[in-house]
Amino acid sequence: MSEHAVTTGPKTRTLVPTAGFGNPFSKWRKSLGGWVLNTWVAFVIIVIYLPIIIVVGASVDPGSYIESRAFLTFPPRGFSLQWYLNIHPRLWQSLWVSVSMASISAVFGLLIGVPAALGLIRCNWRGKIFMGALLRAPLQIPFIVIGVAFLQAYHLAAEVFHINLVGSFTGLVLGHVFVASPYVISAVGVQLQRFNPSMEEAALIHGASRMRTFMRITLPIIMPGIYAGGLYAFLISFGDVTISLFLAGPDTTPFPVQVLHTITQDFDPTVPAMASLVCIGSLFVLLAVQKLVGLDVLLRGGGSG
Amino acid sequence: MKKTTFKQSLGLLGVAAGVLGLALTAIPQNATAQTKDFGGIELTIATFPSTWEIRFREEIGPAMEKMNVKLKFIGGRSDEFLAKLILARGSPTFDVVEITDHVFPELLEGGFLNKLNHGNIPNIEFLNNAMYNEYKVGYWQTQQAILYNHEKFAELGIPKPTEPEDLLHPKLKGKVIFPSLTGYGAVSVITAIAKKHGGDEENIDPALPILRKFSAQVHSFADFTPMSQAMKNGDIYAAFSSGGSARRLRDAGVPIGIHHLVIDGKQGVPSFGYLGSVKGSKHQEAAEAFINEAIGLEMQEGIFINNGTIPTNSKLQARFAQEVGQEKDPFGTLYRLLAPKTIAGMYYLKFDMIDRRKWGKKLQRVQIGK
Amino acid sequence: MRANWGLVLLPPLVFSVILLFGPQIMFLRASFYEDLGIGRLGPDFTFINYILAFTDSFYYESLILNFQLSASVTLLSLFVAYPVAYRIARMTPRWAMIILAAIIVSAFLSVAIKILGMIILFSANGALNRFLLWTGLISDTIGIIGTIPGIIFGLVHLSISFKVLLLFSVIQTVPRSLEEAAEIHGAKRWRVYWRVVIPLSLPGIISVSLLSFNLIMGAFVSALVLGGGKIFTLPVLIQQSLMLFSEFGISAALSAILMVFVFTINIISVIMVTRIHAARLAVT
Repeated sequence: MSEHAVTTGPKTRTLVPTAGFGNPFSKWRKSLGGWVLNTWVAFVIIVIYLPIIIVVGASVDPGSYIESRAFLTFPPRGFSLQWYLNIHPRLWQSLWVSVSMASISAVFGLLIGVPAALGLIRCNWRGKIFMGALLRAPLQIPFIVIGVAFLQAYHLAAEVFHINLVGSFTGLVLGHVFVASPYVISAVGVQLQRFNPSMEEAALIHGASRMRTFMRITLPIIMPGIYAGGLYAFLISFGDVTISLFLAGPDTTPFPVQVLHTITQDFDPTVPAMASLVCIGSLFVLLAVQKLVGLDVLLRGGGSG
Repeated sequence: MKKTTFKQSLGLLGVAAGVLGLALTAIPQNATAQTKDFGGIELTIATFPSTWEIRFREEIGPAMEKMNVKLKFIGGRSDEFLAKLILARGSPTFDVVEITDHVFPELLEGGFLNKLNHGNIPNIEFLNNAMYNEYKVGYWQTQQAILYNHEKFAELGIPKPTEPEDLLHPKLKGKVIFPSLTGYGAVSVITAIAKKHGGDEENIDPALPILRKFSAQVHSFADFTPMSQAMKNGDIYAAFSSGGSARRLRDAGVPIGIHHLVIDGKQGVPSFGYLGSVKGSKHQEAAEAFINEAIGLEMQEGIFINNGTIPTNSKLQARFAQEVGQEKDPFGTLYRLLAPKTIAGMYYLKFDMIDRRKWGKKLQRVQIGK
Repeated sequence: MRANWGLVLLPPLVFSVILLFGPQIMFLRASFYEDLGIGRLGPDFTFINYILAFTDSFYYESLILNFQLSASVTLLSLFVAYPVAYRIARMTPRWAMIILAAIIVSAFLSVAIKILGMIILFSANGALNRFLLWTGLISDTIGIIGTIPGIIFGLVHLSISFKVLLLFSVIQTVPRSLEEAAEIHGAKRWRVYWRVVIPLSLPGIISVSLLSFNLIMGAFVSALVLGGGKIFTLPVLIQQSLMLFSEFGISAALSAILMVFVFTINIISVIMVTRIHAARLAVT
């Protein structure tokens, strides 16, 4: 992507030209191609949401415990919030584990990924490409291998160094930071590539301190990459089951692992209710993000590179 | 209670049950040791997840709290816990472990189990002596059976199934769920098929061609949730599962029929679940107190009513036997063999002849049609 | 100034390298020793596990299946997601915001719960199957568990949200001004796509596709549940060898093979893309 980045320069703040300038693509609405494309978007969104609608719908089924403990019923036979009111504390606890784990993984992913991206793009060390490959290597290791290998390493660490990571929150986060940081590196890297370092140099020449230059010039430019990378890291950690399956302990079982157990072994009707709450909760989080920084900033950074 | 043979004790129980009848419900006291104080330790139990964990928390949690023990849970299956114990290199992350019969030999051989002090498990006197030994104490039993949607079977004109192979009926193509062949739930079905064709627990080869036919024809290989969901949706008409599952399906409105497996002319093939104390755990005594509660009345009754297992505690077995044949059948005794005589006459799998890994290697391949 | 950037790179590099090599090497070491059961390994260095993996069709066929599934899911989901991502990138901000939010929310939901929803969606007596039977598109009900089309549908479904997000940010980097310029110069719209939008987003498309390919190659939970025990991908096999049979040797060998395989596919793709790109630059 870097080849093109040179020609594009820093991006404009808005997603698309504002209405005042006229939308050059408004004619789409009339053209056949535009109609097909719009229909496709609507179709895909509907298909994405069908299973979710089913789970949310079934979660308000008023069936008794006896009727509901074997399976979900859709369409619901009525409306009841009974399962929402009876969610077991251990599910709340596991949701809390998931949220805090994903947030902390995202933060540490950024702490690792942002300097790595800066270093990779800016430094002129010889082995730069090789180092880049090393930093992105976690993307190529299957999650199941990461889970097993980390668990084994944690047990060894406990035996040799007396560091207790098995089943601990730290151990869980470490595994997720490992797989999530490459996403941050990519997202931030893309922003950096399209930014002209001479601006920084100019600032330095004009006597600004390095810290100040970084805060005033570099950081705002890579900010979209930071938001996007943070979001990807959060989603990777929040949605992961495979790594957690190995690294989780009794107090640190993330919600998706509980869901997996419910789906494969023994059904618990409060789990779909909890999943629906996660859905609604994430909507509120996004609304808050939209209010605070604007959703577009989350996604303006590239996720590839 | 004097130690007697299995059959004798069951016979005795039958008599006792007849005499005591429901009066027993009025004597809920467990034979508990004096309440100990373990000083606020955390005891980690490796057992089945989801509602099973909830059952432990609800039935045993309060009693353990009185002993100043906090319960924690790791969810999974017995074979997964074995793998985790191996990985742990002698520093296990749990104190009590769920043991299923087919994994027990490896747990023992690997030296992962503590010898239990039966003195700390006074409730053991209510167990038949085949239900425990110095490393494990049995706390649940299920009976594998053929479950079928009797309305669908009648509609399609398929005769009621009496043996596993009946589910190979051409009209049932894609309409049967088999438990995962490598799991515990399939052991009894596989043995039943093997024995019918001249094999046994040691030699399951005669069963493999039949199992291959199943693999080509079944909807999928799955545990309880996918099975019950598919049964309810009408995606499948029959499955191999336990009597407890049958009751849960009946309660949820599925027209379920049941036929218990028959091996060597004996009807009913039970599987058992045990608890053991993990070697390397610092809390063996608390683990024993926990195991004692697991075979106590509250837990045994809790999992009977809610999860559909059959108690190993003979006091409760006798009590629930009273429910059999009653007009209203809230506990679904229809689906579980509870009468002491029937229990005594069941076929008990010879687990010492089963090499889980040897079985597994073959069955893994059969399952994907090789 | 330059030396500084190198120093900034150092800590993340150290962190990644330790986590990359420490656990992996330890784990993969087991692949060179014979399995003796209950996690015990033989004393001698041997390639027996690798020989087994490459001579036993049970193992190598599941790798081939794994690759076929991942490649088809990656391609299919690209065709599904690209137009969506493109359209969102060219929408009015308000609509783009709403649709992006909808997609992010769907990405928050756990894989397993979506699969449960899909099982109900595809139930034999469900509305979907009845509708399809009524239209005559299918002659028998379709299910999602244990069939190849079912797994492919499920995996495409599960990867679509994340893929739209990633592709959206790729297409964002293609300046609209180029498209407009091309249109003003009289190029038909499909030509604009073909000659401007797709080539400019191609490097991004490739890296997003590789990302999702890697994720699907290593997917365990979705493959396990959707496979219904009738279809084993390599991750499912690795998990079974390890967690059911405690065979550290063979599971480590299978992991090593999976890793090397995925790595090779990534390298080949990157080299091919660089070549194609160089060729195109030379032509124009």
